[in-house]
Amino acid sequence: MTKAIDAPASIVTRARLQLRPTDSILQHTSWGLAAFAVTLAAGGLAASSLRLDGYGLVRSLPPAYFLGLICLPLASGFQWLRGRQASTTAIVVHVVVFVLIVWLTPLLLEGTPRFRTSYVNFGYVDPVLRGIGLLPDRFIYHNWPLFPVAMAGLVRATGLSPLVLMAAFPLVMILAYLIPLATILRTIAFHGTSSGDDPGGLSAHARVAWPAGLWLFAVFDWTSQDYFSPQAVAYLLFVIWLAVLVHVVVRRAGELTPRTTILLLGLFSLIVVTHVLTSLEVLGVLAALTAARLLRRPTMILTCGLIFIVWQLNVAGPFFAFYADRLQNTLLDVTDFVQVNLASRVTGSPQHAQIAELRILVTGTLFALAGLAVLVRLVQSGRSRPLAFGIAFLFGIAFVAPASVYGGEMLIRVLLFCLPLLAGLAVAAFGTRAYRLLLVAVIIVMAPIHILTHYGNELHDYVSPGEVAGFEFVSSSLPPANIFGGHPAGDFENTALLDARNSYLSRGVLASSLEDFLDPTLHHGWSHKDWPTYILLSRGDAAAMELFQDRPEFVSEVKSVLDRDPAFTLVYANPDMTIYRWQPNAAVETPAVSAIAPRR
Amino acid sequence: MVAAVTALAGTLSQGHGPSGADAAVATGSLWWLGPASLAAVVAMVLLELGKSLPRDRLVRRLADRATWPLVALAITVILLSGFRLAEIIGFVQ
Repeated sequence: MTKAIDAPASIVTRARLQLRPTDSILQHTSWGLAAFAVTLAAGGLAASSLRLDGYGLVRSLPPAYFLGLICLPLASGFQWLRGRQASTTAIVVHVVVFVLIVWLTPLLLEGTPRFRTSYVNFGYVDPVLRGIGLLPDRFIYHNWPLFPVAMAGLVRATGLSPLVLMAAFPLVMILAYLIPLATILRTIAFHGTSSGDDPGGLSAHARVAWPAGLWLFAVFDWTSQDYFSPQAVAYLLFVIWLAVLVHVVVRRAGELTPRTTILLLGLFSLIVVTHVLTSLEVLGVLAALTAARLLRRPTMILTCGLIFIVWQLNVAGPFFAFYADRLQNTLLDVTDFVQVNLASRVTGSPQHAQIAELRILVTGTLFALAGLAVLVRLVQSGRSRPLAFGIAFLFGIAFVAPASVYGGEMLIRVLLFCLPLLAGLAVAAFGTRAYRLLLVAVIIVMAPIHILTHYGNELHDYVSPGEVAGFEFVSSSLPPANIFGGHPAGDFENTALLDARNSYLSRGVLASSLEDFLDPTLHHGWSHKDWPTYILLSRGDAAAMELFQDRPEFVSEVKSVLDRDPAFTLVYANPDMTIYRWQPNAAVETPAVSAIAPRR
Repeated sequence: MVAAVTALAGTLSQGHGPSGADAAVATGSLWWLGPASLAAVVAMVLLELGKSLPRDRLVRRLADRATWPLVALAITVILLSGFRLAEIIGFVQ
C-alpha cells in the first residue's frame, strides 16, 4: 500500500529533477551573465557623455549601462540557485566588479575628484603639508588630527597630487570596507543563519549566504561617505572594530582575550583621534552590548568612555569652546534633529526633493528587509547571539543618533553605521527560500536605482575643471584674503591664509540674498577685517542654489549686478568661475574680461 | 604610518599642535585633572589587559582586586571632565 502511494510521488520528483537545469548550466549562465554585464557596462560607459541635471548622472548613461548593472546581481542569483555548490568567490567578484563600475563612473565621466567637501577636507591637510602645523582654533578637524596628519604623511611620502589622492580615495575606501565587512558577514552567516531548509547543523545556504550582505552594502550605500574625509577613515576603523566585536560576542560568548582587548582599545583610540561622532557611535554600541550582557566586560565601556572624555577635554577643547552655541542648540534636541535631518532634506528643486524622497524610501526598504529577517529568524529558530547582537547594536546607534553636531548629516551617518549589521541580519535569514528570493530580487532592482540615490545630487557634487582652475588661482595668485562664495575655493589649498564663507549655506537656514554679495560684511563676521575681500561666483554655487533652494537663476542675476557695480573689479574669469575684488566706496573702472589672463 | 607619526611629531615640536596650554585652559582651576586623567587612562588600560588573562594568573587576580578602586577613579575623572566640558560648552555656569 505504501509503495502504491509513493510510486506516483517518485515519478513526479524524477520529472521535476529532470526539468531542473544542471549545476553546470547554472554555473555557465552565471559566468556568461557576468561577462555580458561587464561588456554592457563598459560599452555603455564608452558611449556616455556628461549630461547633468536635477537627477544627477542618470541622463549621462545609456540603457545598456543600467542593464549591465542589473545583470551582475542576476549572475549572483544564478550562483545561489546552485545551492551548496554556489561559488562565493564568483559572487564576491560580481560585487567588486559592480563597485568598480559604479565608483569609477563619475571619475571617468567628470575627470576631476567629485564631492566638494573632499576639497574642504584637503584644506585641513594643507597647513600640515606646508609645515604650518595644526591649528585647532581655526580648523575643526585639527582637534582630531589623525586624518590631516596621516594624509600629509602619505602625500609627503608618495608625492601624490591632491587631485589624484582625492579621486582615488572613495574607490580605495569602499573596497577596504568590504574586507572587514566580509569577516562580519561570514561570522554571522556561519553562526547565525536560519536553517529552515536544512534543519540541524550548518545550513547549506549559510556557506554561501554571506556575500549577499556585501551586495546589500554595495547597492544600499548611497551616502558617499567614503569621500576624502576623516569620517571615511574613521568608518574603516569602525568596521574593523566591529569585526573584532562580532567575533568576541558571537564566537567567544562575549569573553575578551588579551589580543581582542588590545585590538578593541587600540582601534577605539584611533577612532577617538580621528572623528568625534564615530567614537560616540562606538560608545553607544558598547553601552547597548554591555547592558544586554552580550559583552562580558562592564569595565570596557568605562575605559573607552574615559579615553573619549579625556581627549575631548584636554585636546579638542578649542572645538567645544568655538562650537558651544551650536552644541547648546542641537545636542539631544529630537525636534531639531528631525527637522534638520529629514524635513529640510526634502526641499529645493522638485528633482532634488524626489531624489531625497527616493533615498528615504530606499533606506526604509533596507530597514524593512532587516526587520523581516529578524521576524523570520525568530519564528524559525528563536533567539540567537547574532540576532541579539544585531538588535542591541542598532539600539546603540539609535540611542546616540540625536546627539547631532553635524546639522543635516546625521541620518546619512545612522544609515552608514547600521549598514553592516542590517546586511548581517538579512544574511541571517538567508536560509529561508522565500526570504532568499525576496532578497535577491531587491538587490537586482536596487542595482540600477543606486545610480539615482548615489549620484542624484551630482549637479552639485561635480567639480568642473574650470572650477579647479579657479581654486588654483585663488590659492596661488591671491594675497591673504577673505573669500566669499565659489565653495570650496578658499577652503582647498593655502587655507591658513584664506578665510572663506560659503555663499549658499552661509547663514544657516537663511537663504542668500543679493545684499550678501553686495556687502559680504553685512551678515558675516571676518576674522581679518584688514584682508582684501573677493567675491566668487561658480558653477557649483549655481548648482547648489538650483538644487537646494530652487533658485536656478540666482547666481547669473548676481553676476549681472556685480558686472555693473564699480565696487567690484573682475580679476579672474572662466566659464565656471568668476572672481571679483570687492572695494566698497571705490570708483574703480572695471577692466574687460578679455584683459584678464588666468594664471595656471 | 611612520610618515604620519613623523609629521605629527614635527608639528607638535614646532609648538603649533594641541598644547599643554590648551589643556590648562580646558581644565581651568582643576589643574590636577589633566595628569589625573592620564594616570586613570593608563591604569584602566592595564586593568583591561589584566582582566583578559586566565583567572589563575597572578596579574589577573591583582586586576580583579584593583577593579573597584580603579572604576571609582575612572568615574570620578569622567564626571569631573564631563562637568568641565559642559562648563566650556555652556550647559552649566
